[in-house]
Amino acid sequence: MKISHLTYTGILLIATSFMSSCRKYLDTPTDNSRTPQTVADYTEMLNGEGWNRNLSPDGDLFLYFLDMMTADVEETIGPAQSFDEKGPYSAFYTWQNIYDIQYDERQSPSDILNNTWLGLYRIIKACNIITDKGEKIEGDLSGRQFLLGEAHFSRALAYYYLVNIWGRPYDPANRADSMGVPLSVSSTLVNTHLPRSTVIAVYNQILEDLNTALKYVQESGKTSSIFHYSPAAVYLLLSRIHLYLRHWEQAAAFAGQCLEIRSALQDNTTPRTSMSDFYIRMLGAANPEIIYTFYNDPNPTAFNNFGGGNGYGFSVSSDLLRQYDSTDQRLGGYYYSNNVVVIPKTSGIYSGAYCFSFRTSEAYLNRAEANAHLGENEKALADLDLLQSRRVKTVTRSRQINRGTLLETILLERRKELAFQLHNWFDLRRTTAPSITHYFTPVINQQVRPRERFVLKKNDPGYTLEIPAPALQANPALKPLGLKRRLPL
Amino acid sequence: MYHSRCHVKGWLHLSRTLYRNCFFLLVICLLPLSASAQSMRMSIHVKHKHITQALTLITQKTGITFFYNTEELNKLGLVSLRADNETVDNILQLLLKDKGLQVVRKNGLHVILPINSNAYNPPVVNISGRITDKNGMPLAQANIVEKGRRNNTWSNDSGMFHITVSPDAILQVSFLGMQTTSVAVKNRAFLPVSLQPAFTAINEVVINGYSTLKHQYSAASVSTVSAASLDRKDQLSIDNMLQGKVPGLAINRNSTSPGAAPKIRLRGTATLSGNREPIWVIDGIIVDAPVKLNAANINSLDDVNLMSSPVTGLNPKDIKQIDILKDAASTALYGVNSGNGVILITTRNGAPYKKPEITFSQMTNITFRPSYHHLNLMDAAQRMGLSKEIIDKKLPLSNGILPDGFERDYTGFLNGNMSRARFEQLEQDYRSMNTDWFNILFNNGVTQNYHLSVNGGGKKTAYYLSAGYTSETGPAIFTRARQYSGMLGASYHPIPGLQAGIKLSGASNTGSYPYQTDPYQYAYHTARSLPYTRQQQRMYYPPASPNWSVDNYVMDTSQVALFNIVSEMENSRTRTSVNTYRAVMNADWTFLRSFKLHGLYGLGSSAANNNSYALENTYYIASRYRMGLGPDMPYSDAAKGNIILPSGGEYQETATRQYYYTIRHSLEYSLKAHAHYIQLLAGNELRQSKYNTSKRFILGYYPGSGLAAYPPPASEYPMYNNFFTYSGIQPTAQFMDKYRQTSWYGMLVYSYKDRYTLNFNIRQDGANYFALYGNKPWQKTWSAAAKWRVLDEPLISRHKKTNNAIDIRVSYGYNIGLPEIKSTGLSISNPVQDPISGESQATIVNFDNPGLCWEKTYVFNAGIDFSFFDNRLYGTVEAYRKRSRDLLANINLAEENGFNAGMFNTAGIINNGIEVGLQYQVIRRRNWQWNIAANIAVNKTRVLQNNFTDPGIIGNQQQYLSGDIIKAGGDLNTMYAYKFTGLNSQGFPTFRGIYDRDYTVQPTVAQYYANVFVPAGRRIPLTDGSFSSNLKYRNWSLTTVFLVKLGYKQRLNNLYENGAFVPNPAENMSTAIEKRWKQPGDEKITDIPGVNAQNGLYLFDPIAMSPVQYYRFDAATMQNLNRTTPLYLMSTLSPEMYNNSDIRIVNASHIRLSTLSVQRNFPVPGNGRQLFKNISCYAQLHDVLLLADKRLNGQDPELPPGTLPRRPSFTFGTEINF
Repeated sequence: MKISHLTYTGILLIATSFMSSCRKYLDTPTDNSRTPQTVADYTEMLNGEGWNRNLSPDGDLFLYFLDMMTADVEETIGPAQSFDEKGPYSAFYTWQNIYDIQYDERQSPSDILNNTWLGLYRIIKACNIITDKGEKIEGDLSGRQFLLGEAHFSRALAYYYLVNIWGRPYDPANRADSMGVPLSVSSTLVNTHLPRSTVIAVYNQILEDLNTALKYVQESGKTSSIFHYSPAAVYLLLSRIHLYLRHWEQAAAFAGQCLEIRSALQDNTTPRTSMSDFYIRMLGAANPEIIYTFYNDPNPTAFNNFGGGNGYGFSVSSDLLRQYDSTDQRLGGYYYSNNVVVIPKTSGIYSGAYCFSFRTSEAYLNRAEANAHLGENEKALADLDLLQSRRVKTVTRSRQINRGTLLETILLERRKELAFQLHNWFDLRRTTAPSITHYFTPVINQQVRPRERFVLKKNDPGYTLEIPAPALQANPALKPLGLKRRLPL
Repeated sequence: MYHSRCHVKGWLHLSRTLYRNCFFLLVICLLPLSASAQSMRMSIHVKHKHITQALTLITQKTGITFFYNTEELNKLGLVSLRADNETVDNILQLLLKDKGLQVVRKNGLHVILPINSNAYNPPVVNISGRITDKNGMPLAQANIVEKGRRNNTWSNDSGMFHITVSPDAILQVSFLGMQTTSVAVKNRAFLPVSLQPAFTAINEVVINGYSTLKHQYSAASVSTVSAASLDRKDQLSIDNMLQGKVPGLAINRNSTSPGAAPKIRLRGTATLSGNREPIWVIDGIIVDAPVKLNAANINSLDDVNLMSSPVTGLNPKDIKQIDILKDAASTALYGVNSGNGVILITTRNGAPYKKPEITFSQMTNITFRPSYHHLNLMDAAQRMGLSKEIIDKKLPLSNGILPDGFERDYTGFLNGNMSRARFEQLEQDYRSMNTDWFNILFNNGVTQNYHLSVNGGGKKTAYYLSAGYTSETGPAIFTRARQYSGMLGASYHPIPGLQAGIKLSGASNTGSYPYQTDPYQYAYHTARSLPYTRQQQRMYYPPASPNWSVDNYVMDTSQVALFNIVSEMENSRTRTSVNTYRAVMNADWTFLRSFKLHGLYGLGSSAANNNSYALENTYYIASRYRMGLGPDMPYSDAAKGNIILPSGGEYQETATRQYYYTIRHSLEYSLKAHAHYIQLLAGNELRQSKYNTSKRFILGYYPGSGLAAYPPPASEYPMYNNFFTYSGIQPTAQFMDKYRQTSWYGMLVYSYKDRYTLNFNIRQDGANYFALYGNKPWQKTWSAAAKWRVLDEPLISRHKKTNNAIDIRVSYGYNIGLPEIKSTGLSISNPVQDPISGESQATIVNFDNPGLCWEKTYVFNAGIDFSFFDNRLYGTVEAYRKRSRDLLANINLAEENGFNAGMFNTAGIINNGIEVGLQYQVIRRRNWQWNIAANIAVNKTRVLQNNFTDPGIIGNQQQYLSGDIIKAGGDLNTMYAYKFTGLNSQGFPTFRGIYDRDYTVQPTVAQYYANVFVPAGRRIPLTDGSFSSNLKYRNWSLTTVFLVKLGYKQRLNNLYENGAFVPNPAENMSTAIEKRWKQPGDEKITDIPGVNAQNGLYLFDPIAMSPVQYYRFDAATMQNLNRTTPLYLMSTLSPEMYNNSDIRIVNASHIRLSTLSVQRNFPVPGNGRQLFKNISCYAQLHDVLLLADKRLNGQDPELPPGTLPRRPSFTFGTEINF
C-alpha cells in the first residue's frame, strides 16, 4: 500500500518537475501574435510596414502636403465656399513654419506633419529590424538576399524623404551643414536622444544603402513585380540622389543604367478610347514605364489635401495647367476637372498600381538634366524630345542650345511630367528655390475674412520644414530651425 | 517508570496529535465519581482473568474509575477472586495483594500505583466537559489543550470531551472562529465551556494557501475574517461583504447594479500598467476572472464591471473563512501573482464523526427605490417658471423640435394659438402632474436568497453538500440578476496518514440590465413637467438631439424618431450570463512521522456571455445609425447617403470561455524537538489560464429572424459597409489568450521555545508572457520575517497575568510583479491581402524591447499583536512601507524609434500606511455581552519619477478629469479639474489657462494641461475603516456597523446636461441654479452661471458617433470671450467645463450606518430527538444613515456622480439547523 502511494507521488513529482523545468512550456505565446522567423514572414512584415503598406485614413504617413507648398496648387475661389472644405492642409499652403498652430481655426495640421515624421521613421525601424537580423532570417539564400536588399532600398527611400523635407537642401559649399535628420540604422529601442546628422551624412547613408541593395538584388537574381524594388528602381533612385548631390556624371550614368534595363516610354498620343482607359494607361500597372510603385493609399480619390465636400478647397493651379500644350495628353491623363476645380488623379485599386511610381520618364529627365549640366546639350535634347513626342500630339519643338534655357525647359518638363508625384517641392528647393505666392481666404471666428497674400521668398528658410513639435519635445537633442510664424503680406 | 511508553487503546483520538510519546492512561470509565463510592459493597467472581478485566468489572458495577498504567498491569499474571457483598476497598486489596501495587485515592480519583514507586507522581484528574457556542450549540472538533503540557484532545460530535490532566491545570479551548478561552480545572470533574465568537478570529492555524502553519509560528501579516462576521446578509457577493472588515482592504463600490464588482485595493497600489486588484485564491487555487479585461478597464474607477469578478459564482454561504495576506512574508509564496495582495477563501468542509446536519437559510431584502427626497431637483412648477423665463427672454430653447409639453403650449399661447383660459388650465394640469420619474422607472428592489447545506461525516469520510438560489430584482425596472449555485465537497481518510479530498462547485449567474439607458440618469435629469402619459397612452417626444454637422444634409424634422424611456428600455437590453465550474482535488500523505506530501490539482472553466440588443424602434438605434430619423421613412437621397442602417436593430455579443488548471506538489517536513520547532516546505506549481473570446456584431438585427444580419441594399445605403470599414468593427472576431506560469517555492519556519520565530519564503517564477526572446525567464521573490512573543520571556512571564500577550512582528520581502503585457519580443499580425498587389501584408504588433524587466516591490511591515485584560482587549497595529520600482509605464519616446510611446520600466510608487484593528469586550457577563471593534487604515500613495522627461507619462484631458493621469510626486488616483476663475460680467464661467496665448515659448501639451487643470484630490479614500458594536442579551443580539471613508473627493452631479446653460424643455435642473447669475454685478455674489444662450456646437464623427474632441463656440460667444481657440485639444464647451471644474468637487468623506441588525436565536436543548436543533432569525437595516458633505444633496459620496446611490434596505431572514 505504502509503496504504491510512494510510486504514485514520486511519478507525479517527477512529472511536474519535468514540466516546470521545460522551457518549452513557457515558450508558447500568450495570444495569436506571430514572431517572424522566415523570409516569408519578414517579407509580409516589410509589405505591411514598408512602402507598400496600407495607409490608414485617419493618421499615418501623409506626403500629399509636399505639393501643397508648390505653385502647382491654388485656392479655389467660389461663392458657395464652406469654410470646412479647405481642410487641414491650408497651413502648408500658407507655409506656416510652425505647423502646430493653424493660421485660421481649422483643424490643427500638426498631426499630419508629425505622423509623417513618425511614419517615415517607422518604415526605417522595420527596415532596421530586417537588416539587423540579416543572415539569421530563415529561408533560401536568394529570397533572403532579395529581402535584405529591399530593406536597404526602402530605408534609403525613407531617408530620402526625411532629409528633403526636414534637412536643409544640400549645398556643396556647406558640406558640413549639420541640419540634416537623425540617422538610425539599428533596430535597438533606445530611450536616448539622437541629434541631427549632417545633410551629407544622410545622403551618404542613402547611397550606401542603395549600393547594398543593388548588390543584394543582383546576387539574388530574383525579379518581382512593380510592387517591389528591382535593379532598375535602384539605378533610378541612385541617379536621382546623385542629381540632388550635383554629381552630374553619376546621375547621368545611373539613369543610363536604368534605361538599359527599362527604356519603354508609353506612347500616349494615340487616340484613347475612354476616360477610364486613359486613366489606367497613364498611372496604372499596365503602363510599361512603371518601374516601381509605392505609397498605398486605399482611399486616394478623397485626396484630402484638396479639401473635402463637393466643392474642393484647393485646385491644381492654373499656372501649372497653362504650361501644358493644348494637345498634351497628360492634361486628361493626370487631372480631373469639374469646371470649378481641377484635381490630380492618383491611381488606385482599379488601376492596379499605388499612388506614386518610379517611371522611366524620370530616368530620361534625370539624364537630360545631368547632361545639360555637363554641357552635353545634344544628348539632353534627345531625351527631352523623345519624352515630349510620347506625351504631346503636336510637338512644337524648340531646339534651344542655350544652356540656361535648356535647363529651364528640362525642369519645366520635369514639373509637367512628374506633377503630383512628390517631385516638384524637392526640385524647387534643390534648384532655384524661387519665390512663390499663394492667395488664401482665412476663416476666423467662423467669419470669412478678406483674401490674403502669403509669399514664400526666394531661398526662404521655409523651404526646410520645422521638425514637428511633438518630435522636438520627445527628443530635446533635435535642433529646431527657429522659424517664425508666417503672416500674410 | 510511570512515563513509560505504552500502547493505548484510544489510538484514534491520540493519533490526531503530533505527539508520539504518549503518556496517557487508559480511561476505563468516564463517569464522575461519588464520594462514598469506595465504601460501596459489591460481589465479584473472577477466575483466571486478567487484573484489568477484574477492574473493568468493578467499574461496571460501581462506576468507580481507575487510572493505571496498562503496560505495567499487563505484566502481571492472571488472578482469581471470589467475594460476595464486600466493600470495594477490600476487593481491591485482595486483588492487588502481593502484586506490589496499591490504590491511591486523591481528589476522588483511584490511581493504581506500584507500592515501591518513589518516582514523581503527578496527581491527575480525569475530567470531562462540553464545548458549546454562545447559543448552547455543541462545537465538534474543538481543541482542548492542557496549558504548558503536550496534552490535548478534541471535542466530539456532541461537544463532549474527556481529558486527564493535573488537578490544577488550565485548559485552553480553541475553535475556529471563536475566541480561545482558558478554563481552570480547579478540581471540577465536569467543565461546561461556552466559547464566544471572535471579533476577528484568532486562529490556531494560519492558512497561506500553500501550507498550514500554527498561528504561533507565523510572523506574517494575515487578517482573517470568519464567515460568521460577515454582517451584510443582503449582499450576494463576497467582495461587497468584505467592506470595512479588514484594515487595509479598501473596497470601493462604483455601482449599485446587481452583480457589479467593487474596486478593491489592498494597501494601496503597486503597479501602473498591471491589474491593481488583489488576487483571489479559492481553496488554494488562484482563480482568474471569467472575462479577461485589460488592466486599464479593471483599474478605472468609473468602469462598471458586471461579470468579471473572480468570485462570480461563489456563494458566500459556502465560505468558511477568508484570509487576507498583506505583507511580503505572507504573499511571497504567490510570487509574481501577489503584488497587490492575496485574498484567500476557504470553503466549507464536511466534519468527520458527525451526523448529517442540515442547514437551511433564507433571506429577503427589500431595497427602497430612490425618490426626489434629498435631491435638490426642481418640481414641475419651478421648472415651468424657468421655461417661462427662458421663452420670455427669447433664449434658444432647443436645437430640435419642442416636445409636446408646457413649452410648446406656452409658445403656442404667446403666438396667439391658444386662449389665456385654456393655457392657464393646461398650466395648472402640468403643475399638478409633477411626473414622478423615480416612481415610473424604479420599484422597491427585492432580493431573495435560499441556501440548503448538508454537512457530516463518518470515520473515514466527511462531506459537505450545498445548493443555493438567489434572485435580485431592481430597484430599476428591467434590472435583474439570478444565481444558482451548488457545491460538493468530500474528503476521504482511508488509512492513517493519508487524506484525499475533492471539491466540486458550479454556479450559473444570469443578469439582465437596461442597455444604453440609465434609468437613474434619466429620472434625475428629466423635467417633471414632462408628461409620461397622455390620455393613458405613453407619450413619445423627440429628445433634443445634438446639432450634428453632417455633410450636405439638413434634418427633416417630420421624420424625427420619437422617444419614451420605458419603450426604450423594453426594446433594448443587456444580458449577461456566467457559468462557472470548478474542481479542486487534493491528496496529502504523512509518512515517517515528520514528512508530508501534498498534491493539489485544480481545474476550472467558465463560460461568460454578454450580449445586448436594441431594436429598430429604439431612439438609440435612430440616433446611432439613422441620424435621429425614424425607421423605414421615405428618406431623401441626401439622408440615405448618411444613414448607416435604415431598418433593423443592433445585436452585440461577447462570449468568453475560460479554462484553467493548476498542478501543485510539495513536500513538507516538520519537527518539534525540545525547544526547537522546524517546518520546511518545498514544492512546485504549474498554472495555465486560457481565454477564448468570440465577438459578434450584428447590424440589421431582427429579433424573430435569428442572429443574422440583414443589411440594407448597398447601392442605396453605402454607409452600411463604410461603417464596418472605418469603425474597425468586425462582424465576427475571435481572440485567444493563454497565460502560463511555472514556479518553484520553498518555506522555512523556525521557532525557538515558541518565543522567537523566523519565517523565510522563496519562490521562483517563469511566465510565458515574459519568457520569450532573451528576457530572463526566471525571477525570484523572497521574504523574511521574525516574531517575538514578548510576554513569554521568562523574566516577564513570571509577573504576567494570564492571557496577556504582546507579539512583535517584523517582515521584509521582495516581490516581483508582472503586468500581463503582450509578448515583449517582435511579433506581427496575421497577414491580410493587399487588394492592389495581392500580396500578404502583416503589421508589427509589438516591437522587440529586450530591456524590459519585471516590476519590483520591496515591502517592509512591522506589527504588534496584543491582548490584555484576559482577552477582553485585543488587537493589532501595523505599519508598512511598500516601495515599487521599475514599474512599467507607457512613456513618450523619441519619435526616431519609429513610434512615440512605449512601455519602459521607468516609474516607481511608494505606499505608506498604518492599520489598526481593535476589539474590546466592554461587558462580559453570563447574560450580557457587549463587544465593540474598530478597523482603521491609512494609506498614502505617491508616484515617483525615475527617469522620464517631460511630458512624462502620456495623458489626455479625459484622463486628467477621471483621475487616470500618472504624475510624479502626486497620489496615483488624483483627480484633476478645470480651475474656475469666476463668472464674467455676462454671467459666463471662466477658467484658467484655456485660451492663454501670450507664451514667449510655446508650452508643451503637459505644460499647457498643467496650467489648465488643478489637482482636486484623491479619488480613493485616504482612510478606510469601520466601527462596530455587538450587544448580546441571552439569545438576543444587536449589531451595529458603521463604515468610514475619509480623505477623498468626489465630483458633484452634473449641473448642466447637453452642453448648454439653457436647459432643453425635457431637461430638469437643480434648484441650485435659482441662485444663479441674473444681472451684471451678480458675478460677485454667485458662482452659478446665468441661464444664457451659449449653445456649443457639437461636431459629430458620423462613423464613431462620438463628439469630435474639438469644440467650438458660436461666433457670438467667441466675440463675448474675445478669445481664440485653445492651443491644444480641449473641450471648450463651457457648461461641461463648469461641471468638471474645481468648484464642483466636494469632500467625499463620510460615515455610513451600514448595518443595524437584530438577531434572535431559539436554541433547542439537544437530546437529538427534536427536528430542529437551532433556529435563528434576524432583521437588518442597511445604509439608513449617511453623514457626509451637505452639498452632495442626496448623491452618494462613494459612487461616481450620476449613479444610483446606495439605497436604504431592509433584510430579514432565518437559519434553521436540522
